[in-house]
Amino acid sequence: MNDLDLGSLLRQAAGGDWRSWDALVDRFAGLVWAIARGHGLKQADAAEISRTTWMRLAENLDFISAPERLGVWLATNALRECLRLMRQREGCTSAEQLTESTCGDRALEMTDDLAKRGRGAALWSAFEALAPDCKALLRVLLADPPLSHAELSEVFEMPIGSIGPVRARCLDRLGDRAALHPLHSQGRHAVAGTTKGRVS
Amino acid sequence: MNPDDEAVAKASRIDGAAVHLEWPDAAEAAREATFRRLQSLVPEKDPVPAEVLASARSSFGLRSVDDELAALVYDSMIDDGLLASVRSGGRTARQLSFEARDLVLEMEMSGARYLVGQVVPAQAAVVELRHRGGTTPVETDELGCFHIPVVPDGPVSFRCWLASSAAHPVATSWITL
Repeated sequence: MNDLDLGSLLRQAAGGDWRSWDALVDRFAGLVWAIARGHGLKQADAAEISRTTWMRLAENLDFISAPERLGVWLATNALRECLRLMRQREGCTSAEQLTESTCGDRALEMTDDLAKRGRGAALWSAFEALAPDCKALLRVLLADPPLSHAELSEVFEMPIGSIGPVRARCLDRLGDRAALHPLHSQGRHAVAGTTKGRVS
Repeated sequence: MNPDDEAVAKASRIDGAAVHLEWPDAAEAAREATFRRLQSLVPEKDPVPAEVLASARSSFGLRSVDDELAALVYDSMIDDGLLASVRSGGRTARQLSFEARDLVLEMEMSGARYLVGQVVPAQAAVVELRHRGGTTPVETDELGCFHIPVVPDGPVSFRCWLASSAAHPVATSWITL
């Protein structure tokens, strides 16, 4: 879908056309959902973030001046709502609160019962156990359609040049952890060694 | 760190670096394969639930095109250093301000979800609390003060009719309190 289409969908929705509204929802619901889920919110909380974000768009339809930036607008609003909700649920996952080391430990524990499940389950569990910053970024890149690196850099307030390297680092870490599954005890040593090597 | 450990750490660092230096293409390919596998798992492991989609679609019906929008201009939870308060674990009343052209709605909500608010400039008004379960009207006193014993969970919006004016109501942005 190109920018012109987004512009006319927004205009028509603002004029009361619910079909255009539904098309906007179909296009961006996955992105909004990915922002909330990437921040570790459970389904019910992510559903609230989504609802609030869409209600906010509904009331602002007349004021979106740059239709091509609608994805950024939605993602930014969803992100702010996430931060609010996470602040309310103190003690719950906050991207800045959890350190890489505690997440790493959790990933290792989780691999113990992975042998019982399939390859896909192993990879997804390793993804779920990633450090919050990795998970938040990858989950949005996995959305369909994803935000561009330029858009992501704006939403997450990261330098655009750092997104590629961070993505690569997170995927490498994920690859290491998912690889623990078949190797198990041997792999555990290998990854512990690798981690130590990278940190020192 | 004893010498053995140091050697192990060094060796693994060298090994780790060697893997990436000698086979950068292989590392890149493995990375992208991981990404594609993850991508194929999203629809199965974490799809947007049908009720979330339905709720997003139905929010279109809640538009109130004649209202004047009061935008959130201050939220103590965000604007007063979110991170600082997360780290210290401090919890105080949350303060919010919504601003329309000629009207400000100030509110403060306690941890027990008790909310007090005021219409500024001070004047009598009817404030309607819109929430997931419907709407709850509240009358302010002559100074524009109102209170809500327990704010419902989920997105809420406040819609305000001034007693002195026949103008359009002012409605705040939706927000999850």
